[in-house]
Amino acid sequence: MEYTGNPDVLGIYMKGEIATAVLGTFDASAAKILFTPAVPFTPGQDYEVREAGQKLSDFSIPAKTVALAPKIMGIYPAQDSVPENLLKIYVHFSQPMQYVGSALDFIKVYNTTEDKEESIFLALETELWNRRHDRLTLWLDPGRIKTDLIPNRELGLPLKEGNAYTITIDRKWKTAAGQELTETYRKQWIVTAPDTRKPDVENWKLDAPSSNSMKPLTIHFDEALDHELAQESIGIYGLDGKPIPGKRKLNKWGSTLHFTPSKSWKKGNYEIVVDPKLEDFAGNSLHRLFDENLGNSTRTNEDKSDYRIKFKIAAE
Amino acid sequence: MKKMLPILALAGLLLLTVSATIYPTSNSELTSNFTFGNPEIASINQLTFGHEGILFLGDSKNATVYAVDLGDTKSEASEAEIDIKGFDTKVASALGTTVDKIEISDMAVHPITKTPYFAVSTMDGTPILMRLKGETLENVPLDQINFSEMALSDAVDKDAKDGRERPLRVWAISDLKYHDGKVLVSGLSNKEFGSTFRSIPFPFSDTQDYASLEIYHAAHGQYETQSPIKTFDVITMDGKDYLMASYTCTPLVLFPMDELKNGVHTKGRTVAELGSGNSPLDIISYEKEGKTYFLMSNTNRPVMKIDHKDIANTKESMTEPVEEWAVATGVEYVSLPMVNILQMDNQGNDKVVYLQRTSSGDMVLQSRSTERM
Repeated sequence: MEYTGNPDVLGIYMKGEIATAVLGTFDASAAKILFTPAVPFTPGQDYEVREAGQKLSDFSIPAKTVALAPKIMGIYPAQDSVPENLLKIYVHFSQPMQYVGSALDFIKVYNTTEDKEESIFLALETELWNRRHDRLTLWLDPGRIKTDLIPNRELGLPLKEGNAYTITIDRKWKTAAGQELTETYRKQWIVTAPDTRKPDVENWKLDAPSSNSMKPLTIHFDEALDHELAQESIGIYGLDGKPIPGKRKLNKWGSTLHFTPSKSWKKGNYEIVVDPKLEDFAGNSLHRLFDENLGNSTRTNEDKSDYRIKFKIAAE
Repeated sequence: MKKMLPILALAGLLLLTVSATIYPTSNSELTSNFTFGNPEIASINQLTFGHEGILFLGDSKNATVYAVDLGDTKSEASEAEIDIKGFDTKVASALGTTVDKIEISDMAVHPITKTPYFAVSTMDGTPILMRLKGETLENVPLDQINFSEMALSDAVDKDAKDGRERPLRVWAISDLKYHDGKVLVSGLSNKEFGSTFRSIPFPFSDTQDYASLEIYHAAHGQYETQSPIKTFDVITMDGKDYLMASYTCTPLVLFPMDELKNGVHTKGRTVAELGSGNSPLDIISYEKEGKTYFLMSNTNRPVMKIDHKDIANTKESMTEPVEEWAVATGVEYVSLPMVNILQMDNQGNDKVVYLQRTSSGDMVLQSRSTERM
């Protein structure tokens, strides 16, 4: 069939689609007719050019090949044992992941002690991804963790102390470019007693280097802390109130932070300043417990804007 | 001889548009500080309209709310019922792709033209705004529009002052509504367990109010500040406006709107808890026979219809545990025979448009008269 010259009845269709043409613009101002789709054509998809329903031509978009296969870089907490009141996990991917569908379609949790599949995560319409879309935050259902809320009364805690769980992440989960994960990923958890203590900076231990070195200051927390918040909630200051620039490196367990200054340490007094939003695995922040009965509240420092620890750099 | 159609220019894979330039509306007071150009919207998670037909888009990736003048102001008052089967397939086909590669994130109906607008995302996150005119889907360009924007910046930018490399904040915008000259936004952090609720005067200036909302869990006599709000609406009772918010941990909570002021800590009253495994998706209000109702669609329960009066009747106590209503039944409601409603919005005063996943797995877009609700 030949083109009759009327661009008004031209259309681009997916192969096999009868009713709905692909949205885009036709530009018939030049000798050639140029069609620009509203969004890029889909790799691996076949299309047809039709005029008034009659096929004129067809074309295919080659499937994309990506050199590096996508992987899961880590699940945090990285520990094999987690507290019964664990509030959230982070999943890090090597590439941006697909923006369609629900993450929970690809994540299964199996209670190996009781031999049953469990639904422990909170489903959110707007999922909690970072800007690059390669880190996902999942909350364990907070309504089940808070004592006496209806979900807690009806279903109990999402995780049970003493039980073992397997988290399975399906390889069918695709990247934004449409490539499946290299393999199905599994992580085992043993669930331990609930964490009913707030992190307490008073109990952190420091290894301070001596002056004229670029060795890291090491902060040993009193308990393992949230993998993302521990990297962004802690600042190092001189006593003049000026920040000390440097790099932070959290160990994989979330229990130790190394701070390496950009310039050699100078002898003198310093302060570690901690944002109260810092949380442990159970969502207990410096200010307050995640689940707290106000009858015997430990909320005492609600107005405190930060927590400070003084330390000294001694002469070498 | 007429020439064969040349091979189309497949290389031009830019996000361009089908429709012509959008012309400014006559809302000159509202749009006087708008600029024309490309706002570089990175994602569309929420859509809502102002009464004047200004479209507000919530962009979680950019942590920004955009106000867009669509120029779509002519009332068409289409009385035709909407009934489209395979709506997700239709959207996918219009984007030249298959249904597994698209996501319809939100829907809002234009208050004047009654046209449904859809936020759609593709596999790689390209944000698309579409509208349905009759039975035809149209692409609404986002690169040449008349707009203004408001960044949802943190009130106190603690990280910025010590010169650290500050990760760009992402706020997962969980709901967005326009009410009485203000854009209301609820957002969740992807790190700490917490939420913010903002009230932003429109037209946008430099001000936005951060209200800190505390809810009272009547069930166990406990206050809770930080739980994130999933969805909300503004309802009016006895001439007073209230924010009705549904929380991720299931309570439905009322806050008097006039108490939501910048920096003021407001305590809300739980009017019901919705029970486990369920969370509200959309809340809308409508009037019928002189009464105001609101409809709430849910993940795991049918659409609930609640008489505003029944909520008004539970307002005696703000802080005391009241066993009668602080349970799953809470406020009285009627379950409508509408399940798996994914999106829902008012279409004028007497219709509701909804996107539904039927029991056979089909996604249908339909409108229904509130007479039948």
